[in-house]
Amino acid sequence: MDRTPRKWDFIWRVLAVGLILGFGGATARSATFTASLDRGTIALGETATLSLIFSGGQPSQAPDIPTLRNLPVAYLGPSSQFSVINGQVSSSVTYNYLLTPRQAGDYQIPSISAEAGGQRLATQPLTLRVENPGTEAGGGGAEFAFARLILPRKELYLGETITAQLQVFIDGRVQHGQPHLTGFPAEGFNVGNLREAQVRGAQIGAVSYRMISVDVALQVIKTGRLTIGPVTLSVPVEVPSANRRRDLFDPFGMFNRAERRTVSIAAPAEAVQGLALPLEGRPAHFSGAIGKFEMTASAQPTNVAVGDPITLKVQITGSGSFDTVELPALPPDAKFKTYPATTKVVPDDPLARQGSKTFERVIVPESTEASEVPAFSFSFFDPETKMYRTVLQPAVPLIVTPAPSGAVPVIAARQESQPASARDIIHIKPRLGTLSRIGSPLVFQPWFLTLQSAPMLALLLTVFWRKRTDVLAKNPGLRRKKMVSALTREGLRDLRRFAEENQSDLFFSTTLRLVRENLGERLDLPAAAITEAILEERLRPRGAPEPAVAAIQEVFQACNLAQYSPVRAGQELATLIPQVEAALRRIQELDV
Amino acid sequence: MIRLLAGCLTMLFCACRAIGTEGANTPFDAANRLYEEGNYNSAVKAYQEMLASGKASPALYFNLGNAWFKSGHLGQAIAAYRKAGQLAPRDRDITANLRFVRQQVQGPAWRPGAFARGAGWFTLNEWAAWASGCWWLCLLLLAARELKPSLAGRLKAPAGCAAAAALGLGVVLGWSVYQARACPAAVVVAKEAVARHGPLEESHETFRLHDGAEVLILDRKDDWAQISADNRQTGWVKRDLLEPI
Repeated sequence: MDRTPRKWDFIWRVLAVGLILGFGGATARSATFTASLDRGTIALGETATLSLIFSGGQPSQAPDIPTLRNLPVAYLGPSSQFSVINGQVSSSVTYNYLLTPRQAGDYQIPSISAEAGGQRLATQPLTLRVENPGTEAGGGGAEFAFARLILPRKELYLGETITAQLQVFIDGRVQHGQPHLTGFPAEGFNVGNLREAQVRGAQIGAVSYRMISVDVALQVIKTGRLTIGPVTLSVPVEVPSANRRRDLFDPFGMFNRAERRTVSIAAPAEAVQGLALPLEGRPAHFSGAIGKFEMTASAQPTNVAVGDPITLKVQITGSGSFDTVELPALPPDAKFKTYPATTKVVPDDPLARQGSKTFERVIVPESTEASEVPAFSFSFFDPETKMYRTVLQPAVPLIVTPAPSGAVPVIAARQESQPASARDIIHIKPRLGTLSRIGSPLVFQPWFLTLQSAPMLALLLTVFWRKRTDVLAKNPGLRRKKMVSALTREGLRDLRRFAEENQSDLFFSTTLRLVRENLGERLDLPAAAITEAILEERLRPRGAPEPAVAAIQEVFQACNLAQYSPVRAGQELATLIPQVEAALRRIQELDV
Repeated sequence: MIRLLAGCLTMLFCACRAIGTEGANTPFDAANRLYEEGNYNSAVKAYQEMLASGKASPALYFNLGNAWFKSGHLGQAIAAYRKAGQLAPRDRDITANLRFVRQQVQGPAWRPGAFARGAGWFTLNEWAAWASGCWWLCLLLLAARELKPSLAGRLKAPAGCAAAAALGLGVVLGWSVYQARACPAAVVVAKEAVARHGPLEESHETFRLHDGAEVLILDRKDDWAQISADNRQTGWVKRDLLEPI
């Protein structure tokens, strides 16, 4: 009777079960349980955080940590993460514990087991190294600061990339600037990227420090005994002035007086052993990848015709040196034509140690027998476990149908647009052409560089000339002074000539003109207005020196006398020239 | 009279040309004959002896590149064509042969970007001459403005254009000089060159380059050069396996 509600009820139940199963299938993949320490090495007095991470499952309660001697453990609480990426649901729960060691030494944190997602899981054991602060500070050398270099291990493999941490401790009571790295010798290493400095507080003994840590990627390029450091730094600090004198305005020392200085510190050198990769257990297709990696691969499309391109995408993620990660080769008997792969590296951290490398290779099935992209594998060396590991990619099934009639599609190679390719090179040239000397280009020739300064010099000269012209145009006094100066030089030359030619009239008229022009310029009067009376009217009242007035008066009188007895001998005229020169000099020296 | 003068000038020109051709091209013609006879190794030596005199021409490098290519040395051929291209960047024959030889090269190789290809349209000396000319023109126009203030208005635009051109050309010239000095190019001239992580024989192999692969030299240390083959991969290669350009 009432069938419709029952029918809908049934449909809803089926859908709900399907959703639950689907969701569960997405989330309840294989659960994992890992443990990690935020730092592998700490100083006595510092704390470390132990994180227990559950992915794909969750325990009913926080796992218990075994009691460790001299290493108290405090539970800090959980944190969880839930993400959906491309439809893939993942969740993780992290339980954090604070470890506070009471004694220096190496602490072994044993494997911790817990039940999650219906499975019994266990972590890998961890080692926490606690160093004595007294010995750590040995590399310092400064009373306010010291540094140390932390390496993950003392035995490293050729080609391996590690993260070394340089820690700089600066007394918390001291004001300081940014430390500057002055030396980072690393024999047998390639020094890679640096991660930005992180600052946090640290307690060592009774002293509080500000700890600045810088991570640096180092790649081993040599075997044998290798040395890193001593790493040297300079740190600008402000310390309280030791010999502070009593200040009248600051009798109680209320105002902070500090002395600024630069402290040089050094982190002691660390010796490590560079090891060659073991030959034992090395896979045949090992390409040199060192680190920890995972591989995923996909092929699209999977339903194609013969000759159609398939894009094989292989992504290798993890941590290590991605330079040595190469695309795993397909088996040689694969029935595909392959094209060169494109590569893309996406680092997840500034040190480029973690991230992914993606290869995209176009493969073309050459026959319908190519029923699958064959399985392939990727091998790498794990320096922590000191073993080779191989990850396998299962075969991807394909549906390959015969090619449709007509031309088989061709994958166009990505090349620059070029004209039709020639069959041979163009023949030699019969004529030698103009020979030129083989040498440095013009821009490195000193004469060419010098030549470029010539127009600048010309411009400067014209600017100077222009400025001078402008100054003269705006200053009539200066202009008249220059004109009188030129007139005087020319007039004195004329006087000598007139004396030689015994031209008495011209000699005295020129003399009178020179005296008038010079006096006019000094007194700022027209030359025509200058007479002997000027001496009494203008010069003497203005305090002109008597010898100067007398010298000028003598020249005036000599000129007046010549009007009445004009003819004089040339020798007599020549003796007057020094007298005229002296009078003109005195006029120029007048301060009126 | 004019006819006589013209005849004398023509004779003088022909004589000068004949002297120049005979005198300078004799070893060149001999080297070309060796090439025509298929004696490519001897032709290479003959062209190299001419270069040892300290003088070169685009044709000399071009023919040397041909001889290297015919004797099976792709890297040396590319190096010679690149040097010919530096002297005559717009020579179509050089461009065509360089492109042809590049097609024979296997593996990764560095190729200049669009800006570098544009800058390579002129030689370094041509860029220097253009930039110098604009610099001179700009400053002399400014000097003329000072000498003749009445012309200031009319000279303003030409001086501004000359300044902008000098600046632009100077930037291109500076970039070209920087590229030539800081990241010089080189060609692999061995059958195979192993690029390593560090400048040591014990260092791990990064990748391999083949004869004719063009690279950029990023750094040098002792007998090693750090090279970049395709802007992504870098490695250290023995310097004697490279021919600098």
